[in-house]
Amino acid sequence: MNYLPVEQVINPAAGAVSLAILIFLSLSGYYYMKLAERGRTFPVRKIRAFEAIEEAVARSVEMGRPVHYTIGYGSLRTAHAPQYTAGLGVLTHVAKLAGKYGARLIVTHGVPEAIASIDEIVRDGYFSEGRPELYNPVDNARYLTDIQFAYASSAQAVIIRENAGANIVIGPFWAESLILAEAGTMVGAFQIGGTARDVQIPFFVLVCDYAFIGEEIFAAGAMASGDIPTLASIRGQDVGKLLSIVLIVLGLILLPFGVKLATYLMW
Amino acid sequence: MIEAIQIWLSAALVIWIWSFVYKDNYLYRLAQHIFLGAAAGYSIGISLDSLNKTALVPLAKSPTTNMHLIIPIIIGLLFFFKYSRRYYWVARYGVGIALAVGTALAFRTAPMANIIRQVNAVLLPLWTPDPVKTLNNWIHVVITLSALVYFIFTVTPRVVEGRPTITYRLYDAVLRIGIYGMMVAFGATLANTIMTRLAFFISMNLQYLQPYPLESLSAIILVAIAILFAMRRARAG
Repeated sequence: MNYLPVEQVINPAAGAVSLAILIFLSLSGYYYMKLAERGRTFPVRKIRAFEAIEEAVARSVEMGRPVHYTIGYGSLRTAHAPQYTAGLGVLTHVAKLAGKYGARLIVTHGVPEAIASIDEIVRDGYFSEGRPELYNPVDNARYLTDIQFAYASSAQAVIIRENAGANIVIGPFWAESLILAEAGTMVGAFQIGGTARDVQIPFFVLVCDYAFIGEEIFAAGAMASGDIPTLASIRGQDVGKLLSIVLIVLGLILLPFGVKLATYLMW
Repeated sequence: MIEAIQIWLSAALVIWIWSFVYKDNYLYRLAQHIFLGAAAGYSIGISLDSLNKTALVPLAKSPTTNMHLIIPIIIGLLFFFKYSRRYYWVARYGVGIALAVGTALAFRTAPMANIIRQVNAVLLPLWTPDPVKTLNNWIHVVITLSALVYFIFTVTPRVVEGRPTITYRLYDAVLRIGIYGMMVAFGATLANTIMTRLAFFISMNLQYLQPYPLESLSAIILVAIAILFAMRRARAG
């Protein structure tokens, strides 16, 4: 049996402070999730883009046009997995709304590992709202390909040919972000976009009616799930941001005294 | 002869794909389906090759030392349960493991990349002999802190009896600074990306179209006919 060398499992270059922060954040996330399980609630600030989803679905139904949704292309096995998860979380919400309003939902994607999950989410959305007759796996969930521009050229074609009334794109996006958003603009769709990839956020801010900016997609994913412990995990994430603020302020206070916090953080 | 077809196809496919900017047409559909089919075939080829190289061949060569490779193969096979009406739920385990691997990968680098390196980048001297540098550093620090506050979702001051408190007003001001700062950054990123895209456009033109004017022209004529045809069809009903 071959065993991996220790340095491949534990990175010796990773600092002790980094590890301490990782443990602290994990524990704080766990702590707030446990608190939520005991009945404690954490009010989450409103995110306009999230609230606009219902309007987008309802508007599409009024116009007799389908709702297009995509989480992008790629693989769940990469570090972008949390963004795909957020996209799938919001899809749960959109699928339920599609069932509630009787909308035709078309999900295009290029994530092979998510084929089964997307099928199930869409199916559950229609079934849980008592509209099983609207579920059509071939039409509702369309896997295109995991090659970037082949996926983008097909997804934009679906948006245009199906004359989407709403175009919701949430996940990690690369150069195809503008292609998808532009296709939505061409058919006058109500557009909601979101990604945590900072280079692509400007395109969604520019072209979409509402945009999730960065971390907002994770909060939206948790809000869409409606699951109390998952919602509480947002508080855990907030602890990380508060920690960053504290470290910045502390570092700035110590700097004039010749104490460089940056050096200690790299331990 | 083959080279001539290759040149014509490259010029034609570029123009047919671009033609979508104006209107959907049959030649775009043709190019799109060629692209999609080629991509699907390529993906299958790459996946089978990867499976062969990383799992099947090592497993066949020395089964005892590489026995652990059976685990990912089984996990991969779990995805096919999606096609069973009775056992479709088994596929969830495959999805769950794939997601867990991805999340762990993201989680592993998060403290260093998202906290320590970011914090270190903001620890700048706020008073320097150079006034421009001082101003830059202040802008950097204030916008970073404000943007961080913008992304805090569960710790927000409340409005008491319908009237915003001083804390709330302060919070609102910080939020605005954060969002305006981000918008400025987005503007700069957008301009930068547009420049890169423009460079792509020019390089496509230089590589596939400009050296072959006849091929490009014939592709343009064909696509113009396809668009006219699509417009006539749309008008007819």
